[in-house]
Amino acid sequence: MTTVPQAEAHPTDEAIVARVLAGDTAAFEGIVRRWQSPLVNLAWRFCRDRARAEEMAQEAFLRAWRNLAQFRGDSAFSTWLFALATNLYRTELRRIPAAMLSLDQIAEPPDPAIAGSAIEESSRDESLRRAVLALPPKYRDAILLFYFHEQDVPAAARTLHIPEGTIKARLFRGRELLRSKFSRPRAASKSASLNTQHPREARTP
Amino acid sequence: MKPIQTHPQLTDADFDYALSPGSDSILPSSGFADSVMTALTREASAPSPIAFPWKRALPGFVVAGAMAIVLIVAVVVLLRSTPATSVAPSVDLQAVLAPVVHHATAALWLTVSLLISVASLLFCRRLISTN
Repeated sequence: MTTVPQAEAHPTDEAIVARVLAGDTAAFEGIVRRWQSPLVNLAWRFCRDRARAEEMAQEAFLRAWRNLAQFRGDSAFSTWLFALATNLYRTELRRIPAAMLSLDQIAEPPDPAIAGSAIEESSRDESLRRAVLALPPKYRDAILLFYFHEQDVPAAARTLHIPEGTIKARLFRGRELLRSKFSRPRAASKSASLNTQHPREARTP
Repeated sequence: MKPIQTHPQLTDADFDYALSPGSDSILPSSGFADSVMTALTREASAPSPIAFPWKRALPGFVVAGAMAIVLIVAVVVLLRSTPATSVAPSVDLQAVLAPVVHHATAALWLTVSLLISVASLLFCRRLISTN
């Protein structure tokens, strides 16, 4: 039985990029298979439409392939790919918005008197996800990227090409907007004890 | 009066749960990767776009530019020479200059449209090269 060297069985992104740039177009499939799920899911978060998410992810892969020569290896390939995909998704959303809803049009969260069941919680979570899409783009992007990168502020900042402090400020403001939407009465006092900074934001270097 | 508070504030845990990748993710369709590779192969095998024939078009651009300059100079010269002709009281200046001004205006518009065409062509080429 022959053994396949590890590097050949699971080549790194950089190795695949080098092969593609050398003319081996088929090698790009390794990139597609490795990153298809993250890119489709990122698009899904931006539009919440499976078909459109796959279309946008496909376009992101095609654009990555066209611009592969611009990847200089200064950062991880995934960082470059996510930044490219995010730019594309944001442009697409500017062209055709995901949902023609404003924050006020988002379905009201369920009444806590009847809430508590898994269905109600699921409905509330879905309302929250839709409400994120209705935020102004700069807050929407910060929240989507922060949670997409598993609450990693530096990763979200690199993807959006903005300073970490700006990400934190936008997260803060975005959450405030969502809280104001999801709390009743709207004019109710904002609790002084309300923790508006996520614990993960404070631990960043 | 007791404030009505029917909905509790969203906590960080609510955000974490609703927006975390684990609770909000989809799987790509089974044929997604193949579909991407098909599109990519199609694009890779497509013939490259025909380059604009600059060598053939350049003389035309040069001639058009030269004509535009000549026309502008002619109009300027004509307009500067009008005070001299206005000495003769019997000549109707407006009647004399009307055709000249008309042609000059047309030439100017032609020049502007040519410049716009060149600019749009350059813009399209830039768009193609960036994509």
